[in-house]
Amino acid sequence: MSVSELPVKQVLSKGPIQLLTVVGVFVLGMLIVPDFATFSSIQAMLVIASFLGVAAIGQTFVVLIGGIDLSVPALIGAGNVIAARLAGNGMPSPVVILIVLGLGALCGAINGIVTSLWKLPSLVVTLATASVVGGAVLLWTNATLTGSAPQWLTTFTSAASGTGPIPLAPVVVLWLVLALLAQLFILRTKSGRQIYLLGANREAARLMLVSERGITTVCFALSGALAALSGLLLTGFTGAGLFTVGDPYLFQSIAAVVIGGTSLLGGRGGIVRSVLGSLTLVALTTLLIGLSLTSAAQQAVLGAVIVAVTALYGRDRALGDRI
Amino acid sequence: MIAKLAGLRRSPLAVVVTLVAILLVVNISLTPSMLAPAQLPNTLNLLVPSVLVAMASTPSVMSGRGGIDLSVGPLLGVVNVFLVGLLVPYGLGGAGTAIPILLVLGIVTGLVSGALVAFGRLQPVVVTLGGYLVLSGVALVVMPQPVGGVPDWVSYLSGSWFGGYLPRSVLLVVVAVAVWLFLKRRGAIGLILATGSDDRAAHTSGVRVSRVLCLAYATGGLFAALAGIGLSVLIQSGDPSIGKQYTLAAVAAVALGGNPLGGGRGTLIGPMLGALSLFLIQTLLSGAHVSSLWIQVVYGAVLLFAICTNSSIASRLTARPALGSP
Repeated sequence: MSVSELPVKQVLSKGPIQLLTVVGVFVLGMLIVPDFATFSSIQAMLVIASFLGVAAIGQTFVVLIGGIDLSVPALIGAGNVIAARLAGNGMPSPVVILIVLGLGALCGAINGIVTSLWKLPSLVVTLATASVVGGAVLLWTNATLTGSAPQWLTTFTSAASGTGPIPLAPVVVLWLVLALLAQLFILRTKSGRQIYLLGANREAARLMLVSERGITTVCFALSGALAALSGLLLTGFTGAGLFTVGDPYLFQSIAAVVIGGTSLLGGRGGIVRSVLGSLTLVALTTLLIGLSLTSAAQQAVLGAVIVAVTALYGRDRALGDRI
Repeated sequence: MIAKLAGLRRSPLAVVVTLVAILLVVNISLTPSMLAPAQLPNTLNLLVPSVLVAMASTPSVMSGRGGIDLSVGPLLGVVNVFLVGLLVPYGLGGAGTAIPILLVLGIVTGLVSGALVAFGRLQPVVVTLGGYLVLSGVALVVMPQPVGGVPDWVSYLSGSWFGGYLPRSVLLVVVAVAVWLFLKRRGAIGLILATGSDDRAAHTSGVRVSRVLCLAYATGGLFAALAGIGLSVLIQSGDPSIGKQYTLAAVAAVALGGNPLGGGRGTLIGPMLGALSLFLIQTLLSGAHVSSLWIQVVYGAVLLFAICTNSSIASRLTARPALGSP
């Protein structure tokens, strides 16, 4: 048994450490920043985490099959602008939601089909589609702030509103329900298990008659739909549609997945981990803002912390152990 | 002759060479002044940082393990900001002091990423994503606002010799290529490719994989520092936020150039030509007075088309199933 397989390390790498990280950052915040743990502050943090979290669920699907989706920010921007524009024009909300989800899934499916059909690195494919989608939305809106959010959506994403008896904003509940469904999907269904198989060993998956094209397309389509949904939800938060609203989510969605402990090489990880990753990331950002660092210094510290946190549990095995 | 042509058609460079040739012809026929001595230095000053940053991404991608250096773009910005915001105010802006300091800055940054990948055993995307955030933050801390004022040698580099026919900024690319050829001659590039192709096999054959990974990222850092100097030559000022946008363009250039992102194979000339073709697409569209909003759409579409074509060529190359490949 090599060092990397010692029981303690094995237990740590299986999950609780992500939870400990969230709690650790949170306790640190409570100690350092006054009012960090007031209920209203937690409510606000959860709402902000939910926008990131919804997109991160989708990113997790793609990462699990060994890909990466760089079109997330473009699709968040597109979902945001389309929702604000159509709702502002008086279109009924259910139709708007269907259109946004459909377009997101379509763009994602194109990513998946192109990636699997030509066996291309998803990084470049999604970069290219992001460029096309982003440009198309800019052309459509002339790069200006457009549309408006319907009233119900503003309430839906307001930190002050509750969901029935639960004192959390509806958007937070939606996020957690989606995450739970996604986790059940990957753990309990045949297609879900095939996602892991494809990510762990493509060749073995092919021999076990896993449809690479089908699974890849589904994963990317889910990522696209969830990114667009995140953009739609953001409309309620920002009040209008602006394409650039998705920009910060490029690295954040990946960072949330990675901090959660899902391997970017595919095959290892899960949705609940990304929920914890999103929470860690938002709590950390809030902590850094609370320390009244400038946004530049925040960014620098965040980058270093992402590397440090990943070093706790995201390390590969030593080369000598892999032979 | 025919066999040679057929070989060319199957080369991983075929797509990018064809693309560059077509784009050059169309560009020159649309705007013949592009290559005139009055325009050439400006054109090349624009091109040099893009080419160098594509070169900076090349060794890390070659080194495998999903290796990719996302931090090259912000490193460009940091080099630019260090030069204008720190070295010049402290009187270190002369060519003799500033250039070595900046190059060492690039190499050390690359070495840190490489060491985290090799000894820290972290995934390259995580390390360089962290590096991306740290470096863009550092650039903004050093210089919150764009500032003018570059040392004389930077202004000198933006000029040209022989009445406009030989812009001086090309020197930076020449230096980078010379370093690459030196490393190639010493066998270092071969080791990087061996590591990228199969690090376990390389390890068992006695290659010091960790050191090779450090070397790959350090070389990328050096090229990124040269690109940062090229950026300073281009904008003739310090700007903390302009470097970031080069990262994705660099990845795109590497993929367009026919280097597999999985590592283990590839050339340096491919990414350089990839950067050239991306540049030519932009000049073509702006030369044809297409709205700048359209450029993004066309840019993405061309990229998608080019990598699909690249891949079908690559699959023809490896038509036989590789035995025992993981």
